[in-house]
Amino acid sequence: MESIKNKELKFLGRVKALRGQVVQISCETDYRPAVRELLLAEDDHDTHMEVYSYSDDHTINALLLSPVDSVSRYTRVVTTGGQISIPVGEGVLGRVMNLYGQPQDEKGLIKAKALRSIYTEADDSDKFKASELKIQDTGIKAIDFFAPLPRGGKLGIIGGAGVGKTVLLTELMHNIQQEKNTISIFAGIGERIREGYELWQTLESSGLIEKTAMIMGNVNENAAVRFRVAWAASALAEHFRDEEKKDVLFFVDNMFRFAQAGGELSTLLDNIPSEFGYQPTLQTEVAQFENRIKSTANRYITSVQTIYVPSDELTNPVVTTTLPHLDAALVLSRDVAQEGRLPAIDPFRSQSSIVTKEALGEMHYVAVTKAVELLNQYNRLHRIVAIVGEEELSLENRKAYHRAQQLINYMTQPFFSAEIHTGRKGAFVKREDLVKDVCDIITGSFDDVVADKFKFIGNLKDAGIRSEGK
Amino acid sequence: MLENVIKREVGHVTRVNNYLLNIKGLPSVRINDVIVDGEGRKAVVHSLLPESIEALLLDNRPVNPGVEFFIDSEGSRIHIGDHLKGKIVNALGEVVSDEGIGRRFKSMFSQNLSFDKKARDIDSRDFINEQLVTGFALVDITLPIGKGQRELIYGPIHSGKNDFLRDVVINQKKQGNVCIYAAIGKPTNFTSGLIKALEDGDALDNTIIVSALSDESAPMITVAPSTAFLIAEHFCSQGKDVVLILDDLGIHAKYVRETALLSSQFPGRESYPGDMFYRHASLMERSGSFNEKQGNGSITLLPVLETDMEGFTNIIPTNLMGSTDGHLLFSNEIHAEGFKPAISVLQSVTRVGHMTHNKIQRELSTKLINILSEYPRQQEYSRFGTQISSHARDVLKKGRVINELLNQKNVALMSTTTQIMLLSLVFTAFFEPEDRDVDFLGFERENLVKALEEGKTLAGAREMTKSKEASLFDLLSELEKGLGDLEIATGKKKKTPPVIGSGEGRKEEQDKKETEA
Repeated sequence: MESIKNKELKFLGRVKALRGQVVQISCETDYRPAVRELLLAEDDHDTHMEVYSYSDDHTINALLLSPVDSVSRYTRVVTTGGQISIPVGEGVLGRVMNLYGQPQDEKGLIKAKALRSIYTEADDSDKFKASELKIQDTGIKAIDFFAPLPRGGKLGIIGGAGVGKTVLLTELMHNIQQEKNTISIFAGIGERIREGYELWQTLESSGLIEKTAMIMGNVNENAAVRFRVAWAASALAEHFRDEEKKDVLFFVDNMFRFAQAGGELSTLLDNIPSEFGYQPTLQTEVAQFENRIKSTANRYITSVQTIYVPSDELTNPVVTTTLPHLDAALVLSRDVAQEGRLPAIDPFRSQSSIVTKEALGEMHYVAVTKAVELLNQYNRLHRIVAIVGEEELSLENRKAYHRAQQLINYMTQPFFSAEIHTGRKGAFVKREDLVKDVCDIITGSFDDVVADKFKFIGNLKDAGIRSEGK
Repeated sequence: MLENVIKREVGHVTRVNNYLLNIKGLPSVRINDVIVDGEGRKAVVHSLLPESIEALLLDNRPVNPGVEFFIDSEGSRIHIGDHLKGKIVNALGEVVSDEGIGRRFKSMFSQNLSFDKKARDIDSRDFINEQLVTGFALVDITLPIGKGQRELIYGPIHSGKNDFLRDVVINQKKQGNVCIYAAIGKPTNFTSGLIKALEDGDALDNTIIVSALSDESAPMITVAPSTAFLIAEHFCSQGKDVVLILDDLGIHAKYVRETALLSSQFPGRESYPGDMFYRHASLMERSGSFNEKQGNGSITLLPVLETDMEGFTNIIPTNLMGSTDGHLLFSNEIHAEGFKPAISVLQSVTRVGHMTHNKIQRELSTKLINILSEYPRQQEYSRFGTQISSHARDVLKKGRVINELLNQKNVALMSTTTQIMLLSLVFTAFFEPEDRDVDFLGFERENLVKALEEGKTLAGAREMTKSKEASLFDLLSELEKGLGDLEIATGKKKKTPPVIGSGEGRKEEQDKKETEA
């Protein structure tokens, strides 16, 4: 907080009322702060308020970003003359911080090159230029095969409670090879402190933290803070993209919680709610955030976002509002998770805008089409098998059923980040091996192998299913 | 009472609507401060308006306009310590049980009674790496709970949740873990039943009961969980492993909704306030496993939610599932089959618990879950009368035996070692003979357990269950060595009953009683 304290603080007025997180301040000088200006309590600079609106020419409505018991009526308020700003530059890498750029990791003060307002408007003069299409390999079979991610694009991991979104995100942070001139940013929005802690420790022990900045607004923070953490993280990403000319990997856990924080704020501000009680400004808020974390013609921001689906309802407004912004959407299924197949990906609902011949190449594209066809056939056969047993199927169907089972099992994968949970060694699968494996499974090269052998393996060669030279 | 108040400031009640008061005056109060009138009626400040304040009455006695309220510096403090063990306290932390009524224990640790304390951040946290042993093999092996985990106890009425929770509390005493049981908005006879059960289980003196029953004012009920947390945090900061039960958060949410609507807060989904998720989630974040700096303690949270099966998609269940570390789903059907604990393994989730398992437990758990998930399907198929493959026969038999072993209806809570040994046995030659099935266990279960716990040739296996590196395979080969002992222990159908009065026999009897209670 050094930076803010060193700034000129000017007396502004006193607190008049406080209801929920909305604090009314009566101005006692001629100065009128701008909307989004950061105010502090005079006797406690850790009490933050942000100007939100005016109810008359001398009454400010501000959002109290600190606990509700930190001010009383007549508390003296000062203005910082600026907006919430976070430290930027190399110094934030390897660090965990909160909305105000205060360290959360006990590694001492964050050495910043500069401070950047979290609301800085980035230059978007090249917004109509297209960048070159490349595929971002993730090493996760089900993603790379069914819903491949374009570099500089956005991947959504969509699923209900406890189907494995965070685990998958952690694995992606581990797997997406950090190339030269690339850094990672993690925005922890409205999720559990425990998960944040585990992720931080995982990154520390793998050394990945060195090129990662984590900004946390966990669910113990009030709605205004959680909501703004998204802006803080995007300001940081924009800085690295525009000022330091780096490619950015941007991880968000969780988009739903971001929208939810916006919704909580909206009710606190007495806005009339929209459908299902969501905020009227949902569309705008989601778009504003998504549009900030975009690639430019020269630099990529590749982002992976988890999206929690309340009650497993994919028609939830937050999900449907976010979906159009995504290049690839990975839908996780509870049924699959309950069968113990992880990652619990639903291949029918997961999709990517780059599943085209041009982007993936003929072989991969055809393989996807065939695989989906086979899985469809499996679903039909499965119902028959459940009643009369596999033996009653025709020879042709039995073959298809068997291959589909192999394929389904093959799409499970041991995760590096889950090694401590499962005791299974993680595996990274190259896309060329993956496509080859799937093609061979579909065409029946392994008809003599039991389907169970395909569970939780890497590629077929390493698992010993594909013999040398085949 | 009055000597504790700040005399300078006074407020006059100007408006009363149910338990919502408007008070003029009290210029320096903050939200969540406790204020008190001359009769000792307390209220908590809810919002600060330009001309007045709004407060929620924490008392059932009505208040008239004109009544004077003061800032209650003493009432805003809570005294926590070992003296609370075995006692019932109200939502303000005041002892209300028998001899303790009205007494304050000033010498004890005292702190601000804060209703909105923020959960500690990641720099205070630690990995969840130790298991909270419930004594139920079904939970401890297939759905383990770690110390510091938040596991939602979820299910319809009469599905055995209460029994389960009481047994969990009883089983903590031996392990030196403190329990805090918050009865939130429950019927008025709830606490007395709870006390009786804990007394019978000899665990009352290890438990603090926070009681905010349905006969109290709604604001009292809404603050109860945070008071329970204050108490839990005190013991946690002393390095204790604390188990906190919030029973029940569904009712709590309804009272929160009531007070929010009464104070004209905008209704959100299902008319709950817009920040309902945050209120529960931020509260539950206060549990967890904490690092050395924080005293190395932990708070394991078991929030309870009673609902009907269709209620899955309602807002409160969704919220709670989205902010806990898993849930145990209790089922009426399973309960009706006489199964205890009546948890549906396949529909329950534990997100971190498996991290606390050693290799043997982890492998055993996977094996059990695999069979339990295939078992119903094979049962279904076998009804069609198609030829049953040897694989199916195997699954059916193992599934039956495992289910029987996991049923602790009339069986004492088990130690971790016994759980592992007993369930691993399913995968040895011991259960191969045709007649070693459910009926056999009905007769011989106790002998079997006793032999597993005491048999000389099984000492190596018992030791191995505690090992970090040993695999299930290692354990199974070790178990095979002791099968002779087991054959002898269970061989004779008519065995002389255990001598009543001998030390061991009595202990077993007692354990059994505890479970039944």
